[in-house]
Amino acid sequence: MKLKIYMTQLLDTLASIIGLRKYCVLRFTPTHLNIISAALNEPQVWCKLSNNLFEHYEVESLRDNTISFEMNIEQLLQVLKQFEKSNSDKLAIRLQKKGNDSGKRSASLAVFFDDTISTTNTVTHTFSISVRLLRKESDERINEPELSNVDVLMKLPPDISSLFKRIDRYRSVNFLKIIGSKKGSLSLNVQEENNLNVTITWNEKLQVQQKKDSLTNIEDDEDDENFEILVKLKDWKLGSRICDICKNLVLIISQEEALVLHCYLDDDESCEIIYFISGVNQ
Amino acid sequence: MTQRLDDDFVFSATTHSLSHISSILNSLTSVNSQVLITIDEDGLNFITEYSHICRGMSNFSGNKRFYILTKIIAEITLEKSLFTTYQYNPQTKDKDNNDDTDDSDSNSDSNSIDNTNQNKFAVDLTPIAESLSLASKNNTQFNGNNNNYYSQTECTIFYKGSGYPFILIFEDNKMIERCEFSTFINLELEANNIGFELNQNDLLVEGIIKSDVLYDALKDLKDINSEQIYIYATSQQDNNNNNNKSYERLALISKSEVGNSTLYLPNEKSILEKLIIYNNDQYNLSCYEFNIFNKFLKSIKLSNKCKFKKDSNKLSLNLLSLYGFDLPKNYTGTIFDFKILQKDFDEPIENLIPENEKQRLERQDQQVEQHEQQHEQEQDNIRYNLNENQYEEEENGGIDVPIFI
Repeated sequence: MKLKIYMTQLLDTLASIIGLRKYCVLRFTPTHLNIISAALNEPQVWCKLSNNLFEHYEVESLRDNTISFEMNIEQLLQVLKQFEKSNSDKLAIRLQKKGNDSGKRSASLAVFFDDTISTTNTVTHTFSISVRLLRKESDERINEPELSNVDVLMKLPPDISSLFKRIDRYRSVNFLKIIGSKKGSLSLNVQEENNLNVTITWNEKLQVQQKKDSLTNIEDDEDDENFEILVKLKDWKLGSRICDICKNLVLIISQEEALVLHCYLDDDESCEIIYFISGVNQ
Repeated sequence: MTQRLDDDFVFSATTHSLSHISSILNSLTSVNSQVLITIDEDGLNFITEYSHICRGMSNFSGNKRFYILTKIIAEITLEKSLFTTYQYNPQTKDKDNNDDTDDSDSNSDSNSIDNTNQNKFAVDLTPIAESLSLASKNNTQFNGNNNNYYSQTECTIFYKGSGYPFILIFEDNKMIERCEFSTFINLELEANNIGFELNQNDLLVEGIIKSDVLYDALKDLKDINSEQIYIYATSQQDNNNNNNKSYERLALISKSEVGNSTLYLPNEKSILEKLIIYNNDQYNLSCYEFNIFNKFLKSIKLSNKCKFKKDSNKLSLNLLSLYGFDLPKNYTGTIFDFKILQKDFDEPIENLIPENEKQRLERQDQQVEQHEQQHEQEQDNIRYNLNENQYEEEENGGIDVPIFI
């Protein structure tokens, strides 16, 4: 198995999700690289990088040419940052089986790039990051969460992060309520008992996708219907950051179930980030 | 969510001067975050106090224990002229009370008695100042593109009466932010001026000084960790020449771990506009805890001029502030009003201003008087040393300077 990569997307993706947790699963499939940051009952991030981001992409395995392993992305991120600072334009990542048999599932991810210091000298940087390969069974248990019901699906404008920044200062507040309506209004609400109650509403009506099956029921003059979801404010911090770096943003509210942020890093939609936060029942 | 109708309000006002208001309110929070707001037809009055009692020991009174009361009353009024619209309908509330059948009968009596207090409530000012400050910052960022410093963000203040929250609504072209801050009828906070007014018939010192100079001086004293501060004002009649000339000077003397430090504020019309010492006293000396000056250092920084007055036990500072880029045209300024209780002290003046220094000062003054033509005047803003022959002549004794308030 051999991968040759050429990237800043991977760096941006990793940098944005590292705030959630350091240990992630990287799943290489013939068409995509999935970076999955998930834990039980906690927010999850699913990133999907298309293989055409890589100049050369090759995955071979007995299991449908899919390889999954778990690793600490902090180390990988550091290497990528170093790579970005260097004048090298090519980075290669290769999965290597460890020579000594220190456990069947351990392997290492070799990352290397050449840094040209002068016209005659180049330095080859080689890093080896140990990873833990996942068994087929445990990998199959990692599934993308599915929403049973989508209440509101709205497209967020690029400058929406200024709305989210307004709530950054409420450090003592635990929960954030996101309210979206069928007609495309979006509000954020934070409350502190016996002290404050702040509601911030985006002026512009956002583009909303109507569900096809319920479209027949909605008359033009029907009253606007609000759907709200309560999430932990600290979980939303990452969502706010993702909104900051991504371009094509879609917010999905599934009332009392989850808040999903679905976005693409660039306009070409080759790098997809999905952030799931489950709702809090109060 | 507690969405309420906004058409039935006691008070509603709109402003664009977010930067000014947020800075002013923010500086007030360093005195105390719990603030009493009173609304009337002229403006919004914010008043708060800080008081602290600690037990002290004094060497001069034979190791007797005594209690030190530190007290500050701070007050500002956001004038009606700061707002583009200003509506105050005290009657609405009365009618509301009478019509409101849900109100228990026992309350209606107290309401009519409390008529004067119905638009008085306590709030936690810190989140309010933060909201304003954030909204004003968003604003400047937005305006950076077209170099237009006129506020795009409009802030509307609503209050519906006793028991309702204090509401700020920020509106710009992108979003509306509605902040509801709980109001309290806080019985612990009884900040008011009763018994804390300056005795106008018994004024000892009065003067006006440029705030930036005062700020620099206090900042210097803060940097050397001053613990106590003495304000020394002196006026000396020139007896040699019979032309009624007098020399006033003002000094800040600080006591800290490193010893005493004396800062003479320059006696120039452009800086010390006025200094009067009443009752023909030679001098006046008063003492304060430095940490209370610390509490309004921010306010001094925001202001242009400081008018100070003191009577036998209180000091009052009035600061005139025109801070911020978003003030309405012809706005005369916001005034901070601080009143500070003076601290008892047994330190003899000789310990602070040595007698020989005083004599030397007097002698130097005479020299200055005699040789004033020959002396080159140095223009240092703050003079640390007593030995410099640089006191300028005051022509009118600074009495006929107009008072800005």
